[in-house]
Amino acid sequence: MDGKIKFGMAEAVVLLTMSNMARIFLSFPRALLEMSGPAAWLSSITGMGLAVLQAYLFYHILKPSPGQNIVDIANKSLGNIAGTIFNIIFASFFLAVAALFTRTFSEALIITALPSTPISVLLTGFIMLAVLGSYIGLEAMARSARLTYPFVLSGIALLLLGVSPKWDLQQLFPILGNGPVNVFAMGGLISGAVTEILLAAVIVKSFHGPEMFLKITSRAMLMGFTYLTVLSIVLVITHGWNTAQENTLPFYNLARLIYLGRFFQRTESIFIIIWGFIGMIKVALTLYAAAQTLAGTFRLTDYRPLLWPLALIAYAGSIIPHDMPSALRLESMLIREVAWLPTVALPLVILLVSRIRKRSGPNESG
Amino acid sequence: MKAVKVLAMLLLMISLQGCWGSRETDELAYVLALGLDRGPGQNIQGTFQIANPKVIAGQAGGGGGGGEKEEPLITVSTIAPLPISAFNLINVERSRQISLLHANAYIISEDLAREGLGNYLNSLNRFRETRGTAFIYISRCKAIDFMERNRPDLETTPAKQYELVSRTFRLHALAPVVQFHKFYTGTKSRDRQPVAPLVNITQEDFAGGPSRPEALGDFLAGDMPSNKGESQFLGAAVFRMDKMVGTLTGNETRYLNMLTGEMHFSFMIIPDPIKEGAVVGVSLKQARKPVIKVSTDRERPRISAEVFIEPELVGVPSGTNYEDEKQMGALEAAIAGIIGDSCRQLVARTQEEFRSDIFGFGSHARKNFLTVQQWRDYDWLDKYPQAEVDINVNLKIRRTGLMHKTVSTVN
Amino acid sequence: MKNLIKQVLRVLTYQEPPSREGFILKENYFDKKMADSPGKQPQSQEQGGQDGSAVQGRRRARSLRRAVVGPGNAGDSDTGKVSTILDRNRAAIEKIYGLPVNRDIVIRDYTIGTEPPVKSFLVYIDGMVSRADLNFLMQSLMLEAGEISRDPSASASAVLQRLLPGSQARVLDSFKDIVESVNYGDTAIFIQGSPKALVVETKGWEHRPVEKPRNEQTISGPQESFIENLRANTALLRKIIRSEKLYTEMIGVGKRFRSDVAVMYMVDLADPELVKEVKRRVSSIEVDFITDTGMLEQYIEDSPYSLNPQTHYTERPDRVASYLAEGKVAIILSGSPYALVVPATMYSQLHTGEETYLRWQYGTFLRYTRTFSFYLALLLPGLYLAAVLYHQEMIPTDLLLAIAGNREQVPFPTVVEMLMMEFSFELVREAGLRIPSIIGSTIGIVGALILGQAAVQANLVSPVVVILVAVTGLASFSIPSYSLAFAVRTYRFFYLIMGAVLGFYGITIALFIQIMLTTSLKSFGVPYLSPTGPRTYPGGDVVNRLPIFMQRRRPDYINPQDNIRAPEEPRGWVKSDGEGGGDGRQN
Repeated sequence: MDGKIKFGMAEAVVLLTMSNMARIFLSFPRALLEMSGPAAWLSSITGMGLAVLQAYLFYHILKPSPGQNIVDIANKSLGNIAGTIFNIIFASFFLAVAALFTRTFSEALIITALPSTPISVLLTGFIMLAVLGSYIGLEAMARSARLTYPFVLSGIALLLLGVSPKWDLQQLFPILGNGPVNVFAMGGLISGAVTEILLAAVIVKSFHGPEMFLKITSRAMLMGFTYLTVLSIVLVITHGWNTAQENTLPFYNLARLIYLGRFFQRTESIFIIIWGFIGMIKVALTLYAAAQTLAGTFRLTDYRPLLWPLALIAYAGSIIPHDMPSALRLESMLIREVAWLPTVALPLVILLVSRIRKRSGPNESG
Repeated sequence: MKAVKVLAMLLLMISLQGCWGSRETDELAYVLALGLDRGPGQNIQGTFQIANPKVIAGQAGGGGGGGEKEEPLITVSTIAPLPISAFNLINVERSRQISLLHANAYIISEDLAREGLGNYLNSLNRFRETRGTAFIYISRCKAIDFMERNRPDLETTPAKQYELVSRTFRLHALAPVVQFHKFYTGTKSRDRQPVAPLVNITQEDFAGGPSRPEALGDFLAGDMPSNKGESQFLGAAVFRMDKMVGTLTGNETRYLNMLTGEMHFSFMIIPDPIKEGAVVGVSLKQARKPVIKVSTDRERPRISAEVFIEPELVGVPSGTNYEDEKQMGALEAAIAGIIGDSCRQLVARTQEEFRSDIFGFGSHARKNFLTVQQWRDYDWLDKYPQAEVDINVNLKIRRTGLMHKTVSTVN
Repeated sequence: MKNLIKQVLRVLTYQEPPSREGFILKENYFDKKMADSPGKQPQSQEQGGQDGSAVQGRRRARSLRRAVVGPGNAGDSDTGKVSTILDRNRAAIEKIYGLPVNRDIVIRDYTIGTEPPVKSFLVYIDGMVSRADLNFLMQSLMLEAGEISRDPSASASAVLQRLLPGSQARVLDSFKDIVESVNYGDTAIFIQGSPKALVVETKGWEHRPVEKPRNEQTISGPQESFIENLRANTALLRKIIRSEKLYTEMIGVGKRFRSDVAVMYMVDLADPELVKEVKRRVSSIEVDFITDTGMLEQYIEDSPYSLNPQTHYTERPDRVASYLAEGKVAIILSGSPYALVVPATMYSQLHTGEETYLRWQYGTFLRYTRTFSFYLALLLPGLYLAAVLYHQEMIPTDLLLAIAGNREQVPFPTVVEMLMMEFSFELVREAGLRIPSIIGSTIGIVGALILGQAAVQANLVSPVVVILVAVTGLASFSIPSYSLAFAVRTYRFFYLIMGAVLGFYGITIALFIQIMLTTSLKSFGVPYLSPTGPRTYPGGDVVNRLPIFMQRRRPDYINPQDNIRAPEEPRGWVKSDGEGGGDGRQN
């Protein structure tokens, strides 16, 4: 089914944006706030710039070979063995993201909504739904994303505007937060490590060409990071960055503060619907990308048989952390240290090798 | 594919029995208000007011015959080191699971507040059932006494009363409106310290009255004369970080609200500037939030605040025609003078007696720094008591009510 | 007295009941059939007579069975074609129809009044032909015939050309075709000396007149509905779409008895691929018979296992006409007053004609109301359960205490309460269809009393649940498409269970699954959730209904051949320099 589905720009952008937005519902803003202080929004903007640069990098990789995704290009440029290794690294990166994400999302749900449910129920539910989503296909996922996007958007807007009585713009100062090094360099690096661009490079066959790839990813990054920026700002001006760092789930805490009269209060459970949906889409999409990558590596015609084993691996991976703080630590370690390898370093290598190959041998096939 | 979905549904249906976390409404006991007192040793005494739904539904629906009237609320109390452990212990006596989901008010007694609330607030913030939008009240008597004796006759439950009271605060501005989230943030912040409204049961009878005419509301909670022995919400408790350091009367709280920009509506009585011995009544509204500028370049920070007040004439028993332009100017100057003096006195009191910046001047001072490190090094909490404060009152009487001209009576 | 004693004695003493051979459907039905065909030995009728022969009989019967199947296929080859000898033809007809046992068929001998007279006979099915047509036919044949040529091979066509005043007449020579036509109400005329027979169209059986629609009522707009007669239905459509570009193609389905299916489309609007696909699916059905369009729908739809219906199932010709004008294809079955229109999207299943006939403001308002009730019918029980069981903090305190107080005396858990009320509502709905109208209103009062008042007073259910279930039921009635309403009611149960098991998270899971499954559904090549699924041009008429002069283009997802409905400004009178009206739209 891959390569035959094409969907329009709107759907692709929305799909990638929703997948990118998933992390703002969890603990990520807290880490950003801890690093940058009240200037978290500046870090977020820096991260946006870095992500767009990343999109450019991938664009240059994909441009010379339209109709092929990064898996094929890796195989082609680096030869069989190195290409396979690279692709397996990509696939395991996706799997790790899926596993950690499932775990943190389920933990978040237990903390907030379902305190007495055993976590295995939630994990199983997530993984099963991810399998269902990837099984039905990318087209359905993109369309569902497009369908529910207005609701998600209005929910977030409602939330952010609902706490407006508590805004205090003074809290945004001091402007540079914890110092320019922390804000721009470290903060930018943390927020700029996104998996969506690599993901888009895997599903690029469903776009209408590499130019569309650039447009889609840059737009998706813009939108996703705008959400992050706006949320960081609202967090700071509502809580004050001192206490905002204390919350495990800053978004949920914002939702808890809504008090518009006697009737409309404590409506945070509605947001569970929104963020549950986004979490499911993200895990489904990541699982799909992992399966697709592996299918491309081993040149299988269909990725569907790979779904069940990969889901099992993801499930096992999600149970590994002992408790919630160590899960969060694993996640930040993944983001800070490991993520740059598959999203930037390896593609750079691919780019250089493919350029060298082209330059050195025009009579070489490929 | 559809078969899989159906099968999954059926399997789930089987596990409906005691499914995790589902709690029927009649398996829960809802706590509507939470009270904290000092207990023996290191413990606190936690008091919980639990709603009795049968009675409340019966009252609302108007059904049911006579017979003995059940109480709509049950007050239970126990002793434990932390509020949440008290909460858990109560379950020993109750047949239903206690839930804090609808606890709208936290009432903390003064002596506990003076010792420092940091420990207890932490557990309240971490627990998922507590609301960040609950109201905090500091009670001058013991919290358990207050909660037991607080019987509003217009409402079915005190929960509603606590919420509605926050509305009435806006009418007189003699007490601040503080929700738990603001309070908690204040205990941890360096630029604005928290306050909380005082509550008490009426102690006084009609014995005394206000000391000076312009100190309307110059009482602490419970001291205002009233004929019904009900609860009073009046005045404010001042905190420094998480310890309570003093109280403000209702009158002073009015100026506190003015300086923080949270005064919606208030009343004031001033001595008549033209006619001796008489008074004039005005109602106050705040036109815009006060403009505050803080400069930190010198050793002592300099704060300049400008408040914008718009009074309206309410009562002129002396018969002087204040609607006239010249006399209105005199009245305005008098009011501005009184307000300015009172504000300065209040600020001085916070600087010397309390050493705590409850107005939030610190948040304006943050603008002068670039990084959080610098702000931290400056240590506003220490610098504030030495600050020079300059207060300006910008006042203009806008309306005079239904009367445009007061014709003097024949004396 | 004597009688009485006799009666008593008869009761007191035991008497064997008179033996009456009850009807037993015997095992060896095959043997009976075999006995009919010539040349085989009749077997015994008793059960388990001779074991070996019974088995043999079954085996032989199975091989014979294939030969016996099918109407009109009488086995002998010399009855296959019309013969020139009249008596042979009559014998063949009698054999095929089983005369004189089968009393529906009438054979009428007469003489054609030519010079010299020619013997002939008519065959028709009583009740299916119109008496007036038949009499006129016979009158012209018997009384008004003039000179015709004596050449036998030409006599049938001569009669056809000159004497036969029927509106449709054909010349046939195969018994199979003749019998098929007679089965449908035509009259067959056999003429002595002619190797061909004439078949004249004389259909005229009893049917309903055209009435108001029973299930799809609107306040404004035309009030006609389809009836069971195929020709009348196509005529109703032709009356609205008076265009030569409206094509009707006839396809026959059903092996045991044939029904006609009319596939109608606008040849200059509908996508030819779509039409081809529809015809391919309909003609490839191999089945005994089809009585209703609903059965036809189930044979040709894309995903028969999905809960959502993928076609429009409507009884209003004005709706069908508006769909045809968009470029869709209509399928009408003879004998069914409902028509199918494909392809269908969920949004168009939620439209009625009412919004188009009213002004756009009212139309948009109606649409919003219907959208809201769609969500209510789907989600309300689930959300209530999730909120009350898991997320009590969402409910305002006073409301929660009222609910809790009312539930104090109810013995059932909330889920059981809800399910009980839902099932009883479904019971009421189902029983209401079948109550004789005479006692209908009484039962209605009793039902309302029992379910509503008494159950609450007896503390079996709490009043909140009664209200919720009633509102949900009402909301589900507001969905125009009957099948979609069913689908929504079924989904509601899933949401109920998921909400009771996992709270809002359960609702999210169920929503995710449903959205995934619905967006991957296709109806005749068109994604089910266009135009929001894939984003295509909506045509101004999806949720909001734009003013009718702004709906200039046809919806894109059907791929019509011509996109533009109306020019830039369809209201000619608005143009200031009096260019005049009457542009763009045909009348």
